[in-house]
Amino acid sequence: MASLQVKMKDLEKEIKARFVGNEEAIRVVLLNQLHRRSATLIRAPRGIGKSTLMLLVLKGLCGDDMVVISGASEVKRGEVVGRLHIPSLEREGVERVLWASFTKAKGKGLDEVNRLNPYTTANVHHMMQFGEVWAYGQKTAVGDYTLLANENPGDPSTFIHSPPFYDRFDVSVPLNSLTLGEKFRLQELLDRYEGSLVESMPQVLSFEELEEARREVLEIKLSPDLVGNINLIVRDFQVCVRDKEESEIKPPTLCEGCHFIRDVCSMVKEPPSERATVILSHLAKAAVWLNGECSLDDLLRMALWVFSHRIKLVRVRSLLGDLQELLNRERAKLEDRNARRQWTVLNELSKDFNPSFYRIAKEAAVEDAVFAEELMKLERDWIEGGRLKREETLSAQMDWKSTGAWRIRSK
Amino acid sequence: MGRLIYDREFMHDGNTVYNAVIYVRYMASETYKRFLESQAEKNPVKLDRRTMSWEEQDVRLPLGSPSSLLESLYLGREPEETVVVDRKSARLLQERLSGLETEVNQLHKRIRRMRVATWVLLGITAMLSLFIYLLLQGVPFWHLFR
Repeated sequence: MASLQVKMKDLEKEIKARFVGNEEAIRVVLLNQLHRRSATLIRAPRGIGKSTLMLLVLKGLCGDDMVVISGASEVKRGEVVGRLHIPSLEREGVERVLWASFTKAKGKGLDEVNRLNPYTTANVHHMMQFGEVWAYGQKTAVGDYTLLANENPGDPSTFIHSPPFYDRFDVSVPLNSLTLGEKFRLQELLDRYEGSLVESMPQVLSFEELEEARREVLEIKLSPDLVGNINLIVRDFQVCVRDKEESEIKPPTLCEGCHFIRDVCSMVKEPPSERATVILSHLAKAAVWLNGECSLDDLLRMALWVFSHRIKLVRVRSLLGDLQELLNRERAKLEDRNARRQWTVLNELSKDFNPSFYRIAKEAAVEDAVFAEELMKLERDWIEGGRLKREETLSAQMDWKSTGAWRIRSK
Repeated sequence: MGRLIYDREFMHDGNTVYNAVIYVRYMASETYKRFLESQAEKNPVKLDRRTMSWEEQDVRLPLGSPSSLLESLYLGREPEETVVVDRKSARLLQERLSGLETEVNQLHKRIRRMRVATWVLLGITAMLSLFIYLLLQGVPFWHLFR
């Protein structure tokens, strides 16, 4: 195993030596560090260890080159993070601007992100979106960094941040409270490190090494099957034959009488953004780089962390539990498509129109909205080529709209 | 990934170009094509006029998982510990069983009738044999019928 991979594994060991339980959360957080300008959101109730995990990862990757903005202290007092502290400059000649230090640091932490005021949130959002910050009326480009944030979703003193802001976080990782046995382990660890879990954390990788690892991950080529599965998982959560993205009426009202009422799409009120595909690809590449492989099960597990803050479900009892159930159904659907040879049929049809394959494809499309979309795209070309009549098409027979495939027609 | 091809078409009104229509045609990406090809390679099919068929590979069920009753009945396969029957198959079996029961009842009735007929025939044969014997012995037996 190459040295960078070994160092990433060492980092995981060092964190696990100081952070009890939540092993999957640690793995996901570390996997998400392996692409440029990574942003991770840790969600948990109070006192579970979200700030500790954030600081452990930041220290392990950036050492002292990290700055944490706390929504619970600095920003809560009503100060704007970008404001210059005039007395320090006048008396001591020292420029004290938290925001400036935050933007310069390689390791960036946002503690209690739900308490950040809208002005700070807007600045952080701009930085995450465009990789630049505004200070003293000047634009400054922010290089590569790693950003970790945490929040308590049940916190009553919460600012409601916009969905696009949360969408900028690559993954959202929940932490669970410790089991009985884990509580004993935590007490032992606190004794061993004399209560200084974060202070004792060494820097395992230099930021330059992390950047090198990120470059290597970027160069990884995913297999077409893996890319196909990533795109299918995301599309299955987005697709709607009644175009829910544009519709003013949302599920479940929109789904009344729909052919796909029992499908995954009917359970999703707000679908995940296209960024979900990009992040899943990053994570898959990181898994291949670090572990040598990324299976379908790995992908579905990653989708849980990528979707959980990007999606709104129709009925929520427990978001992660409900999402996991939908991902289990998704797994069955992916297998069902293979069993029905749908992609083989589509492959044949994409080469040339064949009435027999088309008939079989239409039968499959009635049960699968994503497949139907692809078939309807081909249908348009066949109609233009005079190989198919409009009234014979799936879209005409089922009265389905093909989403996202607009075109301006000439008269 | 996805490639968009823009074709501009200009509409002329005399010498003036007053509108431009842009056609946007989606071209499948190379990775998408490779995904479809890879899936087709893994799951090959045969198309015979109107039917599509393929060979199932490794259809042996894992130990402990349920197997189909019809497979064990009609294909002579060894059933697993648990056998699963879907409604359609169960109805098929019910019909088959009720048909067999009716057939068995009919056969029972036929056997009973045949048995009675056999005893009657045996009786007649025995009597005829006795009469012939007595006739051959010169014993006058017809006064018995008076």
